[in-house]
Amino acid sequence: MTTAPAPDVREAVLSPLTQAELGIWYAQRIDPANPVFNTGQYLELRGPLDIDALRRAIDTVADEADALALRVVETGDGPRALVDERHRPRLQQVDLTAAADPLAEARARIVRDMQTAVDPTRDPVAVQVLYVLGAGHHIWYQRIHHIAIDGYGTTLLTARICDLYASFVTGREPVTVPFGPRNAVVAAGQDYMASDRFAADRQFWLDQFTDRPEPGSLTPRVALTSHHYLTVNVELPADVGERLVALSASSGVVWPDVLAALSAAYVQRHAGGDEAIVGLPAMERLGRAAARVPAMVMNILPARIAIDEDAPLDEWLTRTARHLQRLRRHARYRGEQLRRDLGLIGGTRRLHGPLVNVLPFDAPFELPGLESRLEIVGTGPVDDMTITWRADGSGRGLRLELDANPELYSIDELKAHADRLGHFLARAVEARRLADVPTLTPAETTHWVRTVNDTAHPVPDTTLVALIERQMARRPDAPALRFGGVTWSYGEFDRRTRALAAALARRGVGPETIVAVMAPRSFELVTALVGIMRAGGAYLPIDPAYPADRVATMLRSSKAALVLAFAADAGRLPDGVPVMLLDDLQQLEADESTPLTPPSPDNAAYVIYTSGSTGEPKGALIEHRAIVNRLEWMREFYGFDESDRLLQKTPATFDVSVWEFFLAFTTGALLVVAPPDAHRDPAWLAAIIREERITTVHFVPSMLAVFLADPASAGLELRRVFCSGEELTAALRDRFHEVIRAELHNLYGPTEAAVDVTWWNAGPHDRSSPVPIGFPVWNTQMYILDGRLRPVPPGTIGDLYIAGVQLAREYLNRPDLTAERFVPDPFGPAGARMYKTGDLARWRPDGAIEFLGRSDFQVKIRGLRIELGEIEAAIADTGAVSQVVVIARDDRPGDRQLVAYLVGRNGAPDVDAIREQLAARLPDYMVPAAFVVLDELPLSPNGKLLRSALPAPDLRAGAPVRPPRTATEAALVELFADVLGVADGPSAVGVDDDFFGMGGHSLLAAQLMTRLRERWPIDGGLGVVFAHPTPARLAEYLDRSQRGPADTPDDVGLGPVIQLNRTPGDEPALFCIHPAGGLAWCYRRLARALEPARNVYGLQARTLDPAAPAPPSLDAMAADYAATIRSLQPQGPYELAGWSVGGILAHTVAIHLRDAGEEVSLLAMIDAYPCDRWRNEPPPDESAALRALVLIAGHDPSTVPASQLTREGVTAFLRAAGHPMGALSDEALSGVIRVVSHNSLLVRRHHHRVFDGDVLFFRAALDHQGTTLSPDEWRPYVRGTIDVHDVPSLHAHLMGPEATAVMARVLNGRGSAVSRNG
Amino acid sequence: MSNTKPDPAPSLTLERVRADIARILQADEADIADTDNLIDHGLDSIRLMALTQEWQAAGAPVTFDQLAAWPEINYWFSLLHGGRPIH
Repeated sequence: MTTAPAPDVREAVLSPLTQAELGIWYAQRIDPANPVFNTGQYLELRGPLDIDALRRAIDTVADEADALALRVVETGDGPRALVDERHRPRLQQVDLTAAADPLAEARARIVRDMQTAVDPTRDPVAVQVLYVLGAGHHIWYQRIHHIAIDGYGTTLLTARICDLYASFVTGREPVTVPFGPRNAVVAAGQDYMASDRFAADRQFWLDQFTDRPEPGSLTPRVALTSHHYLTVNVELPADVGERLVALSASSGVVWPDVLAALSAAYVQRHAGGDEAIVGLPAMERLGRAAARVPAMVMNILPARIAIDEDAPLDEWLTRTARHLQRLRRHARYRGEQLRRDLGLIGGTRRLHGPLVNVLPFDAPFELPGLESRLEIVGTGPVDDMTITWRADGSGRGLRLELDANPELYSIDELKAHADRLGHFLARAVEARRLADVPTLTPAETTHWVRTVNDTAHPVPDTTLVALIERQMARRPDAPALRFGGVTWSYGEFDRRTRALAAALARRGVGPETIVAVMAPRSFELVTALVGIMRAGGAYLPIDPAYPADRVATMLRSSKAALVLAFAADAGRLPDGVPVMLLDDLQQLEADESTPLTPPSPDNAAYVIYTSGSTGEPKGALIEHRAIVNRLEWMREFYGFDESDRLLQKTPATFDVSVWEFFLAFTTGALLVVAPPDAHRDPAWLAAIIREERITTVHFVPSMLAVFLADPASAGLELRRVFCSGEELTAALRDRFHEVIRAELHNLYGPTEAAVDVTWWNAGPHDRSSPVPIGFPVWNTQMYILDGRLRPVPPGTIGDLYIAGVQLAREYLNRPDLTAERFVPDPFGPAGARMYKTGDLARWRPDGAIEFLGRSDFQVKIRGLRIELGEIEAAIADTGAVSQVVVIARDDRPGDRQLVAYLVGRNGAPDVDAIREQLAARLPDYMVPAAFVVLDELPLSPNGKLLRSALPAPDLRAGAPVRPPRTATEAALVELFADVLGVADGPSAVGVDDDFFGMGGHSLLAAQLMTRLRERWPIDGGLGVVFAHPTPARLAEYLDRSQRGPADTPDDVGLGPVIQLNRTPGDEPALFCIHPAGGLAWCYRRLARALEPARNVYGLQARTLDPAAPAPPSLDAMAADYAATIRSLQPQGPYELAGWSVGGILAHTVAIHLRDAGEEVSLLAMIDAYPCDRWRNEPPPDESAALRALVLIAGHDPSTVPASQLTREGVTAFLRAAGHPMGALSDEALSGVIRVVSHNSLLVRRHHHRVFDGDVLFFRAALDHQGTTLSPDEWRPYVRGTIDVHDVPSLHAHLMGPEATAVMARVLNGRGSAVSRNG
Repeated sequence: MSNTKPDPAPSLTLERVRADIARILQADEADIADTDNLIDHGLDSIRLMALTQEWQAAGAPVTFDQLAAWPEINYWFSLLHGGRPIH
């Protein structure tokens, strides 16, 4: 039996929206054009369908389910719900049997419908369609806006319709009972909000989130909800489901909870940290009122799930299930409410990461005598990712469905997640503890451990000494070394280094002897380095500028046997250290008799001390085999040859100098040594590069930025420039290619792995941001691992490890430090080691590595790991800075803040603009609290950034309140204070204070919007406040849109509605419809001449936006305008006016309004004539459109010479005439011309229907000489009177002051008559 | 329950029903009153489905929808023993 609910709930009275409905409403309001809020499904039915029975079932349900007739009405107190009887979804039947492919046609229509945004203030929220595809083949499609339904509600609805159908067809009693009224849900919600339970639940959730954790996700990116989402479906092997059920039995945790817990563990593998915060949909449906009401009721619980990888799995699952159960006891508290409580409103602030949805009741819908197949085509917005597990009640038929925001995930990434998560689950359900479960699939592990590291390449097993000696012997006369304008040949270089080697050998230097060198750049320095190695020893560079105690420490800890130094520096050496003076090097006799013991490939070549960010310096000892690999790779990979001229400018203490010193000598090329102080003088360097015809040079990125900023670098041409030592930003790469013609290569490597281990070609076509450090060099493996040394997935941040031939042997004499950083390589052969770089990195999908900063620069703010490199990259990408560094400062105890240091690219950068761009791109906790603009960044002697020298920002205690500067700002500050209830009043609100940061939320934003609309003309929706949340930004927006088109040459005022006059009064508004040009500004004068003052809206062509699709007909345009008008003024009587084509449109709009049962009290047609007379004329060309444009602008087109009838010519004409359209951008003007042409076409195709009211007609009495144009032509299309008023004007001048005055008099007189009579 | 039909599920005593509910909600029996709204003890569809299946297996003629409509021990107990569902 189907009883209709009591009549009282049927009444079309306004009721509040529930919290759940409000949540959807505000989300849709942020982006009214977003169709993702459509939920939809269809059943494909095969067999003899009883269409009448289906119609009866659907009609019955339409009458029961009030939510399906929900219409939102905006009131001064916020949105309200109206059950609109006209919107109850009756079955629409569409016959597609004539289509070529009826099934494809139905699907295409469904896709189109799903992609059409629904406006809940205007459109029906639900539709039911039956597509007839052929005999015994149908598709039954239902689409419902998410504000009216949730997933469970859809199931209720479909099940009830199927049940009723079955009862009608078979005559049995229905199994289901009629739905309860939506009012019961509303009342239950209100009762709850007023209950003690509500307060207790609130406190519970606030306690859960007191430390304000930042939720991680499967991607580091954030984005707003897109207009669609991606979906991937996989079925899991049956044995996984069996093991899951077994695990459920052994742990005593129901399997849906096992899936939720393990999904959270999977999220944590990507997000890092020791917990995951996932969203758990809570149906919220059980219970007295809501159980059987199809409506939007669902809630999302933000579940913080601690991940304990070491605990026995059973135990962790039990603990987690207990925690989830605790959360469920407070499941009625809305997630949106909690977000407001926590101030997480607006932008991309999140309460939780991915949603985990377990649907254990996956049962098919059945209709008697029919085969049915369910297809779900939309389930509402997906902010990040939704992980859905489906199975039947006993855990069989386990399926995984991933839905994802395409702004955040590619389809390939999504497929990879489906595989990975499926595998993770399969391994987890049989694991002893989570720690044993790999994150990656076996195929992924192979890829990210082996394939990307497939770098095996033959390199001779030799020494650097042997490689250099070969070149010395091969071409003794070739130039080897230049310094201060003097050149040594390879022969001379051979003799001098041999002589030094012999002298050193005489003093006992041989393999594994460490010899320190403390010298500025000079012939002697280079001779010393090569001489030491030829003697078999290893060199240890010491900067002469180092403090004496540091020098002493290095000598002591390295146990260097000897120091080579100039006399001038020797005095700074500690007493008792054996010294050999470099001043005497030139006098050394050739010595062929002393035997040398050349090193072998596994002997030490050099020791370089690294300062490290903490602790005392440590010396990385590199063997010959390692540096030979590095040098041979570079020589061959970049094609170095004898014609190359390399510049040596890096201090020897910095390992970049190693290839600078020796690559020329292993190639047979020339090394040019820069004067000692030249490396920090851009102009000097540029001069050397030019004069010495340098082909290859290295820069640390900070120094490169300085170099490029100097005019001397402009136009330099080289073969290659290498960057390493610091992060190369995308902005710097791009700047480089603007200034210098050369290849640009980004290299990466620590001193502990023979200079560089990865390469990236940052050429002019590289668009990567950030610039990767790239791919491993020969015979080298790079791993990115988590804290348990498991490979991480691409995109996930991990620790960077290096393995392979280039690793240092050790930290000299520091076995403790060596053991700490050089650890067993779990992926290599027995005994292989890997080096823990202390750097954070992630894989790009293509296998390139992105560097994300030092792990020790990693900071935690609000408990969240923040990668400073990512913030720096985002700032660099604004293009406004040439250099940037972000650090976390603790200048005030307990108040750690991010500070950005900027060097402007062209003068001081606009910090506000940068902050705004960052806010758009990064989560708010990653936007620095302070920006400090510097002339240059402080650099260390090595040219590296000196972090300790960065000044503290000027952050006064208590954020300064920036007072308003303009009247608009002052007004807004007051409004903010008022709406937000700021206790200290407007003086406590600064113009940069964020509405949402001060406790504003969607409800308050709506109030603010209402208040704003009282004072300013605003076209946009609630999104305006979200996009401009501070008084300063909102003022700027308001001022810009208020200035309007007449005095601002921008495109504001091109929207579909402009408000031409505004009044607080409640006179019916006048809607003026644009003429052929699509713009409605022309009515501005008329709008202001009306008395009493009234609201006047101009409707403009949507096609002014070049991206908007062209309407198919004038009738479609008019239908659209009628809908827009009703959204601005929900009820009649309506008053319309239109000039020219606008009159034709107004006539059609009036008919649409009448169709909808509305009253039209005024249709004013201003010199508009029916379409019939143009029907047979040829379509206009562009010059006709341009002439029309001139006419629309109020000028006689014949005064414009034919030669000027071009876009440029007409623009010039309009500008010269001072017409505001002349100020339009070219793009906007193109839009206007497009509209004119298109409207001409549509007019020719339009056929009038009959308007059943009266028409007020203004005729341009001075025009139409010699034509038969007459208002009487409207006779067939107007049932009422046509009241004609002659205006002494040409058609083109009707919007001028004189004509306007005449028309206003008529309209005003009529208006008062209406008031009197009405 | 003034019907003459035999009790369909004699094994589902009030004590057992209370114990089943407390177990599935991981709560103390003593904390749940017979007139409490079980939603406030964390009842959700998954747990309700599990209970429904258990009790159906014990012979009770109840459906998920019926139990969901009024989640309260007293009412459930009457349903389990052939009481009339409310709507």
